[in-house]
Amino acid sequence: MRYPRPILRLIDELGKLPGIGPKTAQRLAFHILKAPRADVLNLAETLIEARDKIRRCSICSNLTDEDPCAICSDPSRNRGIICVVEDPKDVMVMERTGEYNGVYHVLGGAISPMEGVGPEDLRLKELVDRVKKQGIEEVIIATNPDVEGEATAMYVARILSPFGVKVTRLARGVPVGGDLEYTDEATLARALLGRRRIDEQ
Amino acid sequence: MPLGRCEAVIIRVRDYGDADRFVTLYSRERGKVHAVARGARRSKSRFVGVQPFVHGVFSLFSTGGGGGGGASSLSQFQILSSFRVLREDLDLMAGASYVAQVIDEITAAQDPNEEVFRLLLWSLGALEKSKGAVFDVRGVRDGIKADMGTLGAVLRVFEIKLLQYLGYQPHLDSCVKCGSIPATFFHPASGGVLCERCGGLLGDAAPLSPGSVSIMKAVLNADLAKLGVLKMTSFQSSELRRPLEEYVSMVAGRPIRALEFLKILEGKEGLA
Repeated sequence: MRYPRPILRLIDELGKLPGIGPKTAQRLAFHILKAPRADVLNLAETLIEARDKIRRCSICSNLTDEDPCAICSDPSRNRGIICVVEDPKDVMVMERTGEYNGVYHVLGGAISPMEGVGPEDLRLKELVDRVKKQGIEEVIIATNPDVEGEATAMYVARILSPFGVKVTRLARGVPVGGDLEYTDEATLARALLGRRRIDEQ
Repeated sequence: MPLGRCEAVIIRVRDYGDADRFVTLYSRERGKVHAVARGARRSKSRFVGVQPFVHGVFSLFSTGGGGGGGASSLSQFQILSSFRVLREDLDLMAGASYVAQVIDEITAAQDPNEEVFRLLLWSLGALEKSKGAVFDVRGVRDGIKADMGTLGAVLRVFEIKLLQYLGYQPHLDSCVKCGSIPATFFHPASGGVLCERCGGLLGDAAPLSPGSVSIMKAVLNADLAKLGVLKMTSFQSSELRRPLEEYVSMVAGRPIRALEFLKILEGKEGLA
Protein backbone atom coordinates (compact mmCIF):
# COMPACT_ATOMS: atom_id res chain seq x y z
CA MET A 1 0.00 0.00 0.00
CA ARG A 2 1.44 3.38 -0.99
CA TYR A 3 0.28 6.90 -0.25
CA PRO A 4 -1.86 8.60 -2.91
CA ARG A 5 0.23 10.57 -5.39
CA PRO A 6 -0.45 14.11 -4.04
CA ILE A 7 0.72 13.06 -0.55
CA LEU A 8 3.80 11.37 -1.96
CA ARG A 9 4.65 14.48 -3.91
CA LEU A 10 4.19 16.69 -0.86
CA ILE A 11 6.47 14.43 1.21
CA ASP A 12 8.98 14.44 -1.62
CA GLU A 13 9.06 18.24 -1.93
CA LEU A 14 9.31 18.81 1.82
CA GLY A 15 12.13 16.27 1.98
CA LYS A 16 14.21 18.49 -0.29
CA LEU A 17 14.47 21.15 2.45
CA PRO A 18 17.68 21.25 4.48
CA GLY A 19 17.63 19.21 7.68
CA ILE A 20 14.37 17.48 6.74
CA GLY A 21 14.63 13.69 6.51
CA PRO A 22 11.93 11.33 5.19
CA LYS A 23 10.28 10.89 8.62
CA THR A 24 10.09 14.63 9.32
CA ALA A 25 8.83 15.26 5.78
CA GLN A 26 6.05 12.76 6.38
CA ARG A 27 5.11 14.38 9.69
CA LEU A 28 5.03 17.86 8.13
CA ALA A 29 2.95 16.58 5.21
CA PHE A 30 0.31 15.15 7.53
CA HIS A 31 0.30 18.31 9.57
CA ILE A 32 -0.41 20.30 6.39
CA LEU A 33 -3.21 17.91 5.40
CA LYS A 34 -4.88 18.36 8.79
CA ALA A 35 -4.52 22.15 8.91
CA PRO A 36 -7.38 24.49 7.89
CA ARG A 37 -7.41 25.37 4.20
CA ALA A 38 -6.83 29.09 4.97
CA ASP A 39 -3.61 28.32 6.83
CA VAL A 40 -2.30 26.19 3.99
CA LEU A 41 -3.18 28.85 1.44
CA ASN A 42 -1.42 31.44 3.57
CA LEU A 43 1.72 29.27 3.72
CA ALA A 44 1.69 28.73 -0.04
CA GLU A 45 1.27 32.44 -0.73
CA THR A 46 4.02 33.35 1.72
CA LEU A 47 6.42 31.00 -0.04
CA ILE A 48 5.67 32.52 -3.44
CA GLU A 49 5.80 36.07 -2.12
CA ALA A 50 9.18 35.58 -0.46
CA ARG A 51 10.57 33.91 -3.55
CA ASP A 52 9.31 36.61 -5.93
CA LYS A 53 9.89 39.77 -3.94
CA ILE A 54 13.32 39.09 -2.45
CA ARG A 55 16.31 39.97 -4.58
CA ARG A 56 19.87 41.13 -4.10
CA CYS A 57 20.67 44.75 -3.29
CA SER A 58 22.55 46.21 -6.26
CA ILE A 59 25.07 47.85 -3.91
CA CYS A 60 25.80 45.38 -1.12
CA SER A 61 24.26 42.14 -2.49
CA ASN A 62 22.27 41.60 0.71
CA LEU A 63 18.79 40.12 0.35
CA THR A 64 16.14 42.82 0.16
CA ASP A 65 12.62 43.57 -1.06
CA GLU A 66 13.57 47.07 -2.26
CA ASP A 67 16.65 48.17 -4.12
CA PRO A 68 18.90 49.59 -2.70
CA CYS A 69 18.30 47.80 0.60
CA ALA A 70 17.24 49.49 3.83
CA ILE A 71 20.80 49.69 5.13
CA CYS A 72 22.35 51.07 1.94
CA SER A 73 19.64 53.74 1.62
CA ASP A 74 19.71 54.79 5.30
CA PRO A 75 21.26 58.32 5.43
CA SER A 76 22.36 57.88 9.06
CA ARG A 77 24.70 55.03 8.09
CA ASN A 78 28.41 55.71 7.68
CA ARG A 79 29.13 54.82 4.04
CA GLY A 80 32.87 55.17 4.53
CA ILE A 81 33.05 51.83 6.34
CA ILE A 82 32.20 48.53 4.66
CA CYS A 83 31.83 45.33 6.63
CA VAL A 84 32.49 42.30 4.40
CA VAL A 85 30.52 39.16 5.31
CA GLU A 86 30.05 35.76 3.69
CA ASP A 87 26.31 35.43 3.93
CA PRO A 88 23.12 37.54 4.29
CA LYS A 89 22.55 35.81 7.64
CA ASP A 90 25.82 37.32 8.88
CA VAL A 91 24.45 40.82 8.23
CA MET A 92 21.61 40.11 10.64
CA VAL A 93 24.04 38.76 13.23
CA MET A 94 26.20 41.90 12.97
CA GLU A 95 23.11 44.12 13.15
CA ARG A 96 21.97 42.42 16.35
CA THR A 97 25.15 43.54 18.13
CA GLY A 98 23.86 47.14 17.76
CA GLU A 99 27.51 48.27 17.63
CA TYR A 100 27.95 48.79 13.92
CA ASN A 101 26.81 51.79 11.92
CA GLY A 102 28.57 51.29 8.60
CA VAL A 103 27.35 49.49 5.49
CA TYR A 104 27.88 45.91 4.32
CA HIS A 105 29.11 43.85 1.43
CA VAL A 106 27.86 40.27 1.09
CA LEU A 107 30.29 38.00 -0.75
CA GLY A 108 27.96 35.05 -1.13
CA GLY A 109 30.35 32.45 0.28
CA ALA A 110 34.01 31.91 1.05
CA ILE A 111 36.99 30.70 -0.92
CA SER A 112 37.38 26.95 -0.53
CA PRO A 113 40.10 25.36 -2.67
CA MET A 114 39.03 21.85 -1.72
CA GLU A 115 35.37 22.38 -2.58
CA GLY A 116 36.27 24.17 -5.80
CA VAL A 117 34.96 27.61 -4.72
CA GLY A 118 37.33 30.19 -6.16
CA PRO A 119 37.51 34.01 -6.00
CA GLU A 120 35.56 34.28 -9.26
CA ASP A 121 32.56 32.61 -7.55
CA LEU A 122 32.28 35.45 -5.00
CA ARG A 123 31.15 39.07 -5.41
CA LEU A 124 34.69 40.37 -5.10
CA LYS A 125 34.81 42.46 -8.23
CA GLU A 126 31.82 44.44 -6.95
CA LEU A 127 33.68 45.07 -3.68
CA VAL A 128 36.76 46.30 -5.54
CA ASP A 129 34.54 48.62 -7.62
CA ARG A 130 32.96 50.07 -4.49
CA VAL A 131 36.34 50.71 -2.89
CA LYS A 132 37.66 52.29 -6.10
CA LYS A 133 34.71 54.59 -6.65
CA GLN A 134 33.29 55.55 -3.30
CA GLY A 135 36.21 56.81 -1.21
CA ILE A 136 35.98 54.10 1.43
CA GLU A 137 38.07 54.65 4.61
CA GLU A 138 37.91 51.20 6.11
CA VAL A 139 36.98 47.68 5.07
CA ILE A 140 36.23 45.38 8.01
CA ILE A 141 36.52 41.72 7.04
CA ALA A 142 34.02 39.70 9.05
CA THR A 143 34.26 36.34 7.31
CA ASN A 144 34.09 33.24 9.51
CA PRO A 145 37.23 32.44 11.53
CA ASP A 146 37.64 29.06 9.80
CA VAL A 147 40.09 28.12 7.06
CA GLU A 148 37.83 29.25 4.22
CA GLY A 149 36.99 32.52 5.96
CA GLU A 150 40.66 33.21 6.72
CA ALA A 151 41.67 32.46 3.15
CA THR A 152 38.95 34.79 1.91
CA ALA A 153 40.07 37.52 4.32
CA MET A 154 43.68 37.23 3.18
CA TYR A 155 42.63 37.24 -0.44
CA VAL A 156 40.43 40.33 0.00
CA ALA A 157 43.28 42.13 1.79
CA ARG A 158 45.59 41.20 -1.06
CA ILE A 159 43.36 42.50 -3.85
CA LEU A 160 42.51 45.70 -1.93
CA SER A 161 46.13 46.55 -1.08
CA PRO A 162 46.72 48.69 -4.22
CA PHE A 163 43.97 51.12 -3.16
CA GLY A 164 45.48 52.20 0.15
CA VAL A 165 42.26 51.55 2.04
CA LYS A 166 42.50 50.48 5.69
CA VAL A 167 41.62 46.77 5.82
CA THR A 168 40.85 45.30 9.24
CA ARG A 169 39.79 41.88 10.48
CA LEU A 170 37.41 41.04 13.33
CA ALA A 171 39.40 40.14 16.46
CA ARG A 172 39.64 36.49 17.37
CA GLY A 173 39.70 35.35 20.94
CA VAL A 174 38.13 33.57 23.84
CA PRO A 175 34.31 33.45 23.56
CA VAL A 176 32.34 35.34 26.20
CA GLY A 177 31.12 32.84 28.80
CA GLY A 178 33.45 30.15 27.47
CA ASP A 179 35.85 27.89 29.29
CA LEU A 180 39.60 28.39 28.92
CA GLU A 181 40.20 24.66 29.28
CA TYR A 182 38.25 23.96 26.09
CA THR A 183 39.73 26.84 24.11
CA ASP A 184 41.98 25.53 21.37
CA GLU A 185 45.57 26.70 21.24
CA ALA A 186 45.13 28.64 17.99
CA THR A 187 42.32 30.76 19.44
CA LEU A 188 44.18 31.24 22.70
CA ALA A 189 47.33 32.30 20.84
CA ARG A 190 45.30 34.87 18.90
CA ALA A 191 43.62 36.07 22.08
CA LEU A 192 47.01 36.52 23.68
CA LEU A 193 48.32 38.49 20.68
CA GLY A 194 45.23 40.69 20.61
CA ARG A 195 45.05 41.32 24.38
CA ARG A 196 43.85 44.74 25.52
CA ARG A 197 44.47 46.88 28.59
CA ILE A 198 41.56 46.42 30.94
CA ASP A 199 40.89 50.19 31.16
CA GLU A 200 40.55 50.38 27.34
CA GLN A 201 37.74 47.87 27.11
CA MET B 1 30.35 2.01 21.18
CA PRO B 2 33.91 3.31 21.49
CA LEU B 3 36.09 2.74 18.44
CA GLY B 4 39.30 3.68 20.17
CA ARG B 5 41.91 6.33 19.59
CA CYS B 6 43.96 7.12 16.55
CA GLU B 7 46.70 9.53 15.62
CA ALA B 8 45.58 11.45 12.58
CA VAL B 9 45.67 14.59 10.47
CA ILE B 10 42.43 16.34 9.49
CA ILE B 11 42.39 16.39 5.69
CA ARG B 12 38.90 17.71 5.05
CA VAL B 13 36.21 19.54 7.01
CA ARG B 14 32.70 20.16 5.73
CA ASP B 15 29.67 21.77 7.32
CA TYR B 16 27.10 19.19 8.29
CA GLY B 17 23.60 19.73 9.61
CA ASP B 18 22.92 22.86 11.66
CA ALA B 19 26.02 23.14 13.79
CA ASP B 20 28.08 20.01 13.12
CA ARG B 21 31.13 19.39 11.02
CA PHE B 22 31.87 16.32 8.95
CA VAL B 23 35.56 15.56 9.29
CA THR B 24 37.83 13.36 7.17
CA LEU B 25 40.91 12.12 9.00
CA TYR B 26 43.96 10.36 7.66
CA SER B 27 45.16 8.23 10.54
CA ARG B 28 48.30 6.24 11.18
CA GLU B 29 46.39 3.23 12.47
CA ARG B 30 43.35 3.08 10.19
CA GLY B 31 44.03 5.15 7.13
CA LYS B 32 41.23 7.43 6.00
CA VAL B 33 38.27 7.62 8.38
CA HIS B 34 35.23 9.88 8.57
CA ALA B 35 33.70 11.28 11.73
CA VAL B 36 31.13 13.85 12.77
CA ALA B 37 32.21 16.56 15.21
CA ARG B 38 28.91 17.40 16.88
CA GLY B 39 28.32 21.08 17.58
CA ALA B 40 31.72 22.03 16.15
CA ARG B 41 30.40 25.24 14.58
CA ARG B 42 29.19 26.68 17.87
CA SER B 43 31.69 29.14 19.26
CA LYS B 44 31.80 27.47 22.66
CA SER B 45 32.22 23.96 21.32
CA ARG B 46 35.22 21.94 22.47
CA PHE B 47 35.59 21.04 18.80
CA VAL B 48 36.26 24.58 17.51
CA GLY B 49 39.87 23.48 16.98
CA VAL B 50 38.69 20.92 14.43
CA GLN B 51 40.26 22.59 11.41
CA PRO B 52 42.01 21.25 8.33
CA PHE B 53 45.69 20.25 8.71
CA VAL B 54 45.49 19.79 12.50
CA HIS B 55 47.53 16.79 13.67
CA GLY B 56 46.28 15.17 16.85
CA VAL B 57 45.01 12.18 18.75
CA PHE B 58 41.33 11.56 18.11
CA SER B 59 38.89 9.37 20.05
CA LEU B 60 35.98 8.08 18.01
CA PHE B 61 32.83 6.27 18.92
CA SER B 62 30.15 4.67 16.82
CA THR B 63 26.62 6.00 17.08
CA GLY B 64 25.16 3.64 14.51
CA GLY B 65 22.53 1.22 15.80
CA GLY B 66 24.59 -1.88 15.03
CA GLY B 67 25.80 -3.05 11.66
CA GLY B 68 28.35 -0.25 11.53
CA GLY B 69 26.13 1.74 9.18
CA GLY B 70 26.12 4.99 11.18
CA ALA B 71 28.95 7.49 10.86
CA SER B 72 31.25 7.59 13.86
CA SER B 73 31.40 10.63 16.08
CA LEU B 74 34.35 12.45 17.51
CA SER B 75 34.32 12.25 21.28
CA GLN B 76 37.63 13.88 22.18
CA PHE B 77 40.72 15.20 20.58
CA GLN B 78 44.06 16.49 21.60
CA ILE B 79 46.24 18.58 19.30
CA LEU B 80 49.81 17.38 18.73
CA SER B 81 50.66 20.08 16.21
CA SER B 82 48.15 22.60 14.92
CA PHE B 83 50.06 23.70 11.76
CA ARG B 84 48.52 27.09 12.37
CA VAL B 85 50.76 28.85 9.86
CA LEU B 86 49.22 26.76 7.07
CA ARG B 87 45.84 28.33 7.77
CA GLU B 88 47.12 31.86 8.18
CA ASP B 89 49.16 32.25 5.01
CA LEU B 90 47.24 32.25 1.75
CA ASP B 91 49.87 30.53 -0.42
CA LEU B 92 50.69 27.88 2.16
CA MET B 93 46.98 27.25 2.74
CA ALA B 94 46.59 26.64 -0.99
CA GLY B 95 49.58 24.25 -1.01
CA ALA B 96 48.42 22.36 2.08
CA SER B 97 44.91 22.09 0.61
CA TYR B 98 46.41 20.43 -2.44
CA VAL B 99 48.34 17.92 -0.28
CA ALA B 100 45.27 17.14 1.83
CA GLN B 101 42.96 16.80 -1.14
CA VAL B 102 45.33 14.50 -3.03
CA ILE B 103 45.49 12.18 0.00
CA ASP B 104 41.70 12.32 0.34
CA GLU B 105 41.07 11.54 -3.34
CA ILE B 106 43.77 8.94 -3.82
CA THR B 107 43.35 6.75 -0.73
CA ALA B 108 40.49 4.39 0.06
CA ALA B 109 38.78 4.46 3.47
CA GLN B 110 40.11 2.18 6.21
CA ASP B 111 43.26 1.30 4.30
CA PRO B 112 46.19 2.28 6.53
CA ASN B 113 49.58 3.12 5.07
CA GLU B 114 52.21 4.22 7.58
CA GLU B 115 54.45 5.69 4.88
CA VAL B 116 51.65 7.84 3.43
CA PHE B 117 50.83 9.07 6.93
CA ARG B 118 54.47 10.00 7.56
CA LEU B 119 54.62 11.71 4.15
CA LEU B 120 51.54 13.76 4.96
CA LEU B 121 53.09 14.94 8.22
CA TRP B 122 56.41 15.63 6.52
CA SER B 123 54.74 17.66 3.77
CA LEU B 124 52.74 19.83 6.15
CA GLY B 125 55.84 20.37 8.30
CA ALA B 126 57.96 21.26 5.27
CA LEU B 127 55.32 23.71 4.04
CA GLU B 128 55.16 25.29 7.47
CA LYS B 129 58.95 25.70 7.53
CA SER B 130 58.91 27.30 4.09
CA LYS B 131 57.08 30.31 5.53
CA GLY B 132 59.33 33.26 5.08
CA ALA B 133 61.68 31.37 2.77
CA VAL B 134 62.07 33.09 -0.56
CA PHE B 135 60.21 31.02 -3.05
CA ASP B 136 58.97 31.48 -6.52
CA VAL B 137 55.87 29.39 -7.02
CA ARG B 138 55.94 29.88 -10.75
CA GLY B 139 59.49 28.58 -10.83
CA VAL B 140 60.20 30.63 -13.92
CA ARG B 141 63.51 32.02 -12.77
CA ASP B 142 65.77 29.51 -14.40
CA GLY B 143 68.74 28.25 -12.47
CA ILE B 144 68.09 30.10 -9.25
CA LYS B 145 68.80 27.78 -6.36
CA ALA B 146 65.72 27.27 -4.33
CA ASP B 147 66.21 25.01 -1.35
CA MET B 148 63.84 22.34 -0.08
CA GLY B 149 61.89 24.90 1.87
CA THR B 150 60.17 26.23 -1.21
CA LEU B 151 56.49 25.56 -1.77
CA GLY B 152 56.80 24.13 -5.27
CA ALA B 153 59.66 21.83 -4.33
CA VAL B 154 57.77 20.51 -1.31
CA LEU B 155 54.76 19.70 -3.49
CA ARG B 156 56.97 17.93 -6.07
CA VAL B 157 58.61 15.80 -3.38
CA PHE B 158 55.18 15.02 -1.96
CA GLU B 159 53.94 13.85 -5.36
CA ILE B 160 57.02 11.72 -6.13
CA LYS B 161 57.07 10.01 -2.72
CA LEU B 162 53.29 9.47 -2.73
CA LEU B 163 53.42 7.76 -6.13
CA GLN B 164 56.26 5.61 -4.83
CA TYR B 165 54.47 4.61 -1.60
CA LEU B 166 51.27 3.74 -3.45
CA GLY B 167 53.06 1.53 -5.96
CA TYR B 168 53.09 3.91 -8.92
CA GLN B 169 56.80 4.73 -8.82
CA PRO B 170 57.72 6.15 -12.24
CA HIS B 171 60.24 4.14 -14.26
CA LEU B 172 63.24 6.43 -14.80
CA ASP B 173 66.20 4.28 -15.93
CA SER B 174 65.39 3.91 -19.61
CA CYS B 175 62.63 4.52 -22.13
CA VAL B 176 59.49 2.66 -21.01
CA LYS B 177 58.64 1.70 -24.58
CA CYS B 178 61.94 0.72 -26.22
CA GLY B 179 64.46 0.59 -23.38
CA SER B 180 66.91 3.00 -24.96
CA ILE B 181 68.75 5.81 -23.19
CA PRO B 182 68.90 8.73 -22.66
CA ALA B 183 65.31 9.52 -21.81
CA THR B 184 64.21 13.04 -22.65
CA PHE B 185 60.47 12.94 -22.03
CA PHE B 186 58.21 12.16 -19.07
CA HIS B 187 54.89 10.55 -19.86
CA PRO B 188 52.57 9.84 -16.90
CA ALA B 189 50.21 7.60 -18.88
CA SER B 190 53.14 5.33 -19.75
CA GLY B 191 54.33 5.30 -16.13
CA GLY B 192 57.76 6.79 -16.70
CA VAL B 193 60.26 8.33 -19.07
CA LEU B 194 60.53 8.04 -22.86
CA CYS B 195 63.43 8.48 -25.29
CA GLU B 196 63.62 11.24 -27.89
CA ARG B 197 61.99 9.08 -30.59
CA CYS B 198 59.17 7.44 -28.57
CA GLY B 199 58.37 10.67 -26.70
CA GLY B 200 58.37 12.69 -29.89
CA LEU B 201 55.68 10.44 -31.36
CA LEU B 202 53.31 11.31 -28.52
CA GLY B 203 51.82 14.75 -28.38
CA ASP B 204 51.39 14.90 -24.61
CA ALA B 205 54.81 13.81 -23.31
CA ALA B 206 56.57 16.52 -21.25
CA PRO B 207 60.20 17.37 -22.06
CA LEU B 208 62.54 16.43 -19.24
CA SER B 209 66.12 17.54 -18.58
CA PRO B 210 68.77 15.15 -17.18
CA GLY B 211 68.86 17.20 -13.98
CA SER B 212 65.15 16.62 -13.37
CA VAL B 213 65.56 12.88 -13.90
CA SER B 214 68.34 12.75 -11.32
CA ILE B 215 66.43 14.85 -8.81
CA MET B 216 63.46 12.47 -9.12
CA LYS B 217 65.77 9.49 -8.61
CA ALA B 218 67.35 11.19 -5.61
CA VAL B 219 63.94 11.87 -4.07
CA LEU B 220 62.85 8.27 -4.70
CA ASN B 221 65.98 6.89 -3.03
CA ALA B 222 66.04 9.29 -0.13
CA ASP B 223 64.59 8.71 3.28
CA LEU B 224 61.99 11.32 4.28
CA ALA B 225 64.04 12.35 7.29
CA LYS B 226 67.01 13.18 5.05
CA LEU B 227 65.08 15.02 2.35
CA GLY B 228 65.85 18.40 3.84
CA VAL B 229 69.36 18.37 2.38
CA LEU B 230 68.28 17.78 -1.23
CA LYS B 231 68.39 20.74 -3.59
CA MET B 232 65.84 21.23 -6.33
CA THR B 233 66.19 24.17 -8.69
CA SER B 234 63.08 26.13 -9.57
CA PHE B 235 63.67 25.08 -13.17
CA GLN B 236 63.47 21.39 -12.19
CA SER B 237 60.48 22.04 -9.95
CA SER B 238 58.58 23.76 -12.76
CA GLU B 239 59.60 21.19 -15.37
CA LEU B 240 58.35 18.35 -13.18
CA ARG B 241 55.22 20.16 -12.19
CA ARG B 242 52.83 19.48 -15.04
CA PRO B 243 53.67 15.78 -15.56
CA LEU B 244 53.61 15.04 -11.82
CA GLU B 245 50.29 16.83 -11.32
CA GLU B 246 48.91 14.90 -14.25
CA TYR B 247 50.29 11.64 -12.89
CA VAL B 248 48.69 12.24 -9.49
CA SER B 249 45.31 13.20 -11.00
CA MET B 250 45.50 10.11 -13.19
CA VAL B 251 46.08 7.81 -10.21
CA ALA B 252 43.36 9.64 -8.24
CA GLY B 253 41.02 9.14 -11.19
CA ARG B 254 39.93 12.76 -11.33
CA PRO B 255 41.34 16.30 -11.35
CA ILE B 256 42.33 17.74 -7.98
CA ARG B 257 40.19 20.83 -7.43
CA ALA B 258 42.60 22.51 -5.03
CA LEU B 259 45.03 22.99 -7.93
CA GLU B 260 42.78 25.66 -9.39
CA PHE B 261 43.28 28.00 -6.47
CA LEU B 262 47.06 27.53 -6.50
CA LYS B 263 47.02 28.56 -10.13
CA ILE B 264 44.87 31.62 -9.41
CA LEU B 265 47.33 32.77 -6.73
CA GLU B 266 50.29 32.36 -9.05
CA GLY B 267 48.59 34.14 -11.92
CA LYS B 268 47.28 37.60 -11.44
CA GLU B 269 47.36 38.78 -7.88
CA GLY B 270 43.82 40.05 -7.98
CA LEU B 271 40.76 40.93 -9.92
CA ALA B 272 41.46 44.62 -9.92
